[in-house]
Amino acid sequence: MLKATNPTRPTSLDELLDSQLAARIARLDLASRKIFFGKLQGERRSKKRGHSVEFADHRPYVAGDDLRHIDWNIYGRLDRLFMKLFMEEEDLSLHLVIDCSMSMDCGDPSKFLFAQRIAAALGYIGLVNLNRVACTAIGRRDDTSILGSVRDLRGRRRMQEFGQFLCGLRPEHQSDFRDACRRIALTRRGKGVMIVLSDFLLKEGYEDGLRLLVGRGYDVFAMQVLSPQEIEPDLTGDLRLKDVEDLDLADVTISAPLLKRYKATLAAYCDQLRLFCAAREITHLTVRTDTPMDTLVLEYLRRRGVVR
Amino acid sequence: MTWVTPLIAGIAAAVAIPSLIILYFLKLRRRDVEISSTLLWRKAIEDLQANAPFQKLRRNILLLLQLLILAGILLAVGQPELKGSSKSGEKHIIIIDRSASMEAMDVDGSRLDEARRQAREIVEGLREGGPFQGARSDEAMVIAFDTFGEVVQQFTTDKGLLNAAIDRITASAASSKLTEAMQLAKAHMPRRIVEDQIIDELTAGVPAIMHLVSDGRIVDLEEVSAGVENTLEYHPIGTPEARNIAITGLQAERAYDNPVNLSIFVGVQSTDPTTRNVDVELYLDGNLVRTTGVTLSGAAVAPDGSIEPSTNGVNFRLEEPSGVGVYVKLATRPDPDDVTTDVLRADDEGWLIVPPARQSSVAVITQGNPFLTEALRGLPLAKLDIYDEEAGARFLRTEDAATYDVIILDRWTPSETLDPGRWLIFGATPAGLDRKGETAPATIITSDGDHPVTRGLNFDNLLIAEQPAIDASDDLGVDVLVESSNGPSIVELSSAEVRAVVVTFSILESNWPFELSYVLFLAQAVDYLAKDGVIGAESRQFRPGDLLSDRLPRGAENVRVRQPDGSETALVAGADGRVVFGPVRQTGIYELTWTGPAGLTDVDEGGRVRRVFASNMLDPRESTVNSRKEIATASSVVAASSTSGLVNRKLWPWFVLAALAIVMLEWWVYNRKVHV
Repeated sequence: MLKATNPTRPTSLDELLDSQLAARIARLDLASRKIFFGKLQGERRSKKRGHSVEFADHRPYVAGDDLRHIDWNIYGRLDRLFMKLFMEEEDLSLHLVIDCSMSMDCGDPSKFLFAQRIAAALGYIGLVNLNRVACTAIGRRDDTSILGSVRDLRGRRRMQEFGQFLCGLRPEHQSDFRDACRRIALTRRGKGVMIVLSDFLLKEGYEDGLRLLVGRGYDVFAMQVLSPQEIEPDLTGDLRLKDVEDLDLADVTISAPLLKRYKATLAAYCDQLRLFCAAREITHLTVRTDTPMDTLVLEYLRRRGVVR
Repeated sequence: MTWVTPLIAGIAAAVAIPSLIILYFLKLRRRDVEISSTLLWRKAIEDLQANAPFQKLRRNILLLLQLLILAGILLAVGQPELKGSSKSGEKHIIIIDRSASMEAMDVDGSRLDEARRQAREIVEGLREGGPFQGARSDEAMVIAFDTFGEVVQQFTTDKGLLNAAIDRITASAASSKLTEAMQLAKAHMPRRIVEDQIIDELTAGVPAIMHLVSDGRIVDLEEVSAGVENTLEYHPIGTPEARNIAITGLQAERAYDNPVNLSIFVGVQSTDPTTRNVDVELYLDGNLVRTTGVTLSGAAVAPDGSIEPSTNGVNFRLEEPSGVGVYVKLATRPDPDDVTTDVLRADDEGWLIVPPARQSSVAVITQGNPFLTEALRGLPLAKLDIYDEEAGARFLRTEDAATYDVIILDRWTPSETLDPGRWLIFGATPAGLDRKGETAPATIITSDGDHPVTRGLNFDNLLIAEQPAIDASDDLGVDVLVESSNGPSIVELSSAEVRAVVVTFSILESNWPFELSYVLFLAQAVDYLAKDGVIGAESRQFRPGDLLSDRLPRGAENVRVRQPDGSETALVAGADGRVVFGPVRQTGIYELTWTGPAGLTDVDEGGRVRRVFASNMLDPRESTVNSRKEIATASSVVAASSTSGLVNRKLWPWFVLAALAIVMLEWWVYNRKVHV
């Protein structure tokens, strides 16, 4: 919850993704409940029927079809001619959206550093599996809500470039989630998996933004990053709380009833987000920044169907 | 420092201090903390406050409590009091000397200023009844005195009234006598009744504590006492070493044989232990005519420690036929700003009214009395005419009679009442004096030594063969000058128009013509009657503390008296023309003015007649201003009281003011922090 006084800013990919973790997650692959087709031949299944080795369906024979795909077993039984249909393999694009608002620069461990590490891990998984990886940083700066982006990264050799992009991000901005999602939705080419890394503590609301992302057909994952201090505040006494983004002030006297009420409010907020996401087939995950990265990726994300 | 109610203070502290600490913790001092978002906190606070109404009120309750504290402190500063019955504590009588010596400047300001300060301290030390002290309040009254006493405030517990009364006391040039003030003090104390008898010296209830605030220069101290049960405390004012030069005597006399020669004698005294040379300045009608130096040796110290002033005098001899206003002034201070060389200024001046040089014209109506006529021929008279009875009776009916200053009647009076004028009558009783009893021999028992006619006369050897007895009692306007074994021998009759000195016996029926007192009497009587009841300048002179009393001509109206400070008061003349004013308290010239006829020495200025009088201290005792450390009354010797032990200075108002200042500061700090 508290703004970090001397935040850690990674300067190299190694600070975001150490080699040990990289070796462990290299065998993972991105997963999606919805199967999409990409533009290149990759190690991904798509719902589009095409020429591949995996049987998908039957259809009646019409003159001119390839006789090699006639299903003779069915003809033997039914004395009628049917053609076999097979799944065509497609690649999966991964789009990471990282919230660079000032609220992400709080907590111990820092939420923003945690989001950078998750992005590095997921991006690595996408790149080593020859998926197209893109990353967009969002936050209000001057008249734009897109702070920067990288696109069409593919293959392990693009990992350094991706790492440099991540290290160059700074959580020093106001948030404008809706506008950022609108821009992303308008400029996105193709379809795929979109993972939004944010704390979703948005005074302007998250609903419009997520609706815009879902509407474009993405398989959206809303990964809510919260610090341990936000989940279980360790504040005491009479405080004047200052919002780092809009400088809003709130005078509080920390008491047991107030803490209890806060936690209930947080739980209700997260629940509300989860229900909103569930109604729109967005997968909502809540992660604590003190979760070890290997546990997060190998266990939690796998369990939630982000990776497999 | 003592504590009046320490237990109550302890209980109050036991309640107030923990309450203050609780209030302190209730008062919010907030630490600034930057967080990621206030989104959830605001919602949590709103939810909590929605379910906790007291939270909303807490800020208002703090405000209300602070306002109540402020109101309590402000009310306490006002020292509210409830009037009602309460048990009385001690009774204090504050007696303040305001006589001439209290104008000495040997303290910070005058002695009277210092006396007022000490009196106010005594008032401040009075205990006030309240819930913590068993409701016992001390009472006090204030009496101011010079020659007379005056109650300026009756017994009260109200310190405001007492202080206001003390501030109203003004200085007087009169001398100090404590008798009347002490009588007033005792009169206001309830006397004890024992077996149906009021015992003057015993007080019913609580005996009083009398506080005498004075320099101790009181004439009749040894004649007064505070009473058997009352306590007298003496608060000395002034210094025992005070130095003062004063005029203690002032007289003017015209030579008997040549009244144009005027002698003015000025007596001076000094209480300075060192030799002093002073200048005496003589002014006639405002003009400086003479300055003479006089040396005063150092004052001596008596074995009992009292000061014996040194004295000296100067005699101014002038030729002055006219009546003049004489003003005498001492130049005593080498440095005008150094008051310590002559601490009292009121006795450095003197005034005299000297009538013009004038010889009298006398007419005598007699059957033949060589003792009378020859004695009269020996006086320095302007005119002496002698008539027999028949011619005298005719003479009296003429206008010429009114031109004589004195008409002497020897063994004869007119059948009717005396005409307006001045009469000296021997051996006859005019209308207005009734005879009673038998004519008998008489010897003189007593005489009025202060009256100008009989002053300095010895009647011891006077033998009267036949003196009629007259009834002089209850008669207005009859003053007995000489009393004999057969009643009044010599009386003065006075009314608005008639003044007569009557010798009830015939001088031929006595041995008086052979006594020295006879000729002196004759001269003094003629002089007295001729100058309209005035001899020399002394009858127009009095001292502060005296009554200004004089008789005006018949028909005088709109009478006013003007005091030396310029203030005027209207007076009403009695049926006999007498006016009374006073007691006078200032030194200087007093003027009586009226419309109507003027007397012989009066001045008529534009329809208003003026007659002047001089008021001078001329009091050696009062001018010996050395303060006494102890006083001896009739019952005891009283040493100086220490007022530091008497006065209880209340400190709690300062604490209340400090608390008020701290509350105001806390309010300011609190509001600043809340509004950051």
